[in-house]
Amino acid sequence: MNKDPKSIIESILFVAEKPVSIKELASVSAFMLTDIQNALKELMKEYEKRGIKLIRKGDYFSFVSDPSNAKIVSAYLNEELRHDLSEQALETLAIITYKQPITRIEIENLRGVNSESLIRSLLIRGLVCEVGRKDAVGRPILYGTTMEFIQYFGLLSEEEIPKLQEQSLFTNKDEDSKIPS
Amino acid sequence: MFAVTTDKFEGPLDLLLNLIESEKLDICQISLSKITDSYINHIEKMEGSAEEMADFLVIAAKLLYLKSKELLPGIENDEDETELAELERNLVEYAKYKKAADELSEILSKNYRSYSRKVKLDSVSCFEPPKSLSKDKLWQLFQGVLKKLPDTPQEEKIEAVKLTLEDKRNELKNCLKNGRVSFRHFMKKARSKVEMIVSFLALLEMIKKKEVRVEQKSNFEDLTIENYN
Repeated sequence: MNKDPKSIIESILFVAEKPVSIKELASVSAFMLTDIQNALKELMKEYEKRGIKLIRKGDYFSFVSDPSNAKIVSAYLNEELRHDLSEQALETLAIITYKQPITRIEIENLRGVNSESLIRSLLIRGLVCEVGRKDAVGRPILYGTTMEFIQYFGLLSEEEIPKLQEQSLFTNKDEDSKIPS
Repeated sequence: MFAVTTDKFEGPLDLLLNLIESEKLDICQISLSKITDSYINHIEKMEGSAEEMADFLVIAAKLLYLKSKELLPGIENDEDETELAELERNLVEYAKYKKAADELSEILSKNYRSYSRKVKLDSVSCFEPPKSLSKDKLWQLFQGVLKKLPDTPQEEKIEAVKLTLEDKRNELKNCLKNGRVSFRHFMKKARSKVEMIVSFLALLEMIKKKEVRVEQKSNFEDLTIENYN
């Protein structure tokens, strides 16, 4: 087969109704994983200038509408374009985003307060999902963000999420503020 | 003093961080000690369930320890010191994610969002009544159902439970006269859920009082109950 992997990937992603993984693309096209990966990288770049974008979450890829067209697209779809996450929900989502995979207890330890209902509402919105179980007592559920999360924030991939800043809130540092190690 | 009274704080860390920030302080033990009074003032005005307040009170206790340490040098003890250091660490960590949440919020404020292809509607499964079903037929069927219903709704019977823990204990003791007893076998004697619960409670009670011992070979397997000695 001398076909260009890009062409095949494009076709499959076009007809797909849900995100497609690199593995699926490789097995259906009989191309090597690395060929697929390279082709996907090129495609993402090529689509940067188009009204359709190729987005990535982990090993999964999907064609979506250009995030900056959200207003018009949502009007066409008759969907409300609103970002009504509460401050607390956003805080919880931020923790999951940067610490994934993470358990509920770990989230609650960080926030110092019960977060069960917040996690549940993020699950319902599809912004986070169960990604596995922690190998610990009780095998607690591990949570991570989803492709819907990438879409919700209008990103192309997780690389666009701002880096977590190490304590830069305050500049004045004195001797006593050092954290004992 | 300052007034941050209108805000609702979700947790003690949230409140602490807000107080520290509004005083433009660094996150350290000195700042924590400085804001102790405001913190206490704040939680005094708070209304919440005991459970909600408990988290706030735990932190309040730590702050008061910090404060008293200043007044009475030499009362330090290792355990409290570790807890304080932990509180400080938690606060630094929490501040980090709070900041990250602000940045995420900023991304959202652009109102960017992408949409994927909608799943075709015709592939969604839904209920379709058979073609032969008419309005009259449906009416008849419905009448039939109504006729079958009892005239008055049946009263729910709530039976008084006459079974006591003591009864079950005696029962189990009796069983044990002939040696060991299988837990499943013992539970099977129960005729209702309530009775099962009482049976189990009785067993727990007896284990606690060291009247019986229970053995289980592996997870989810049957338990063997026998007299303690």
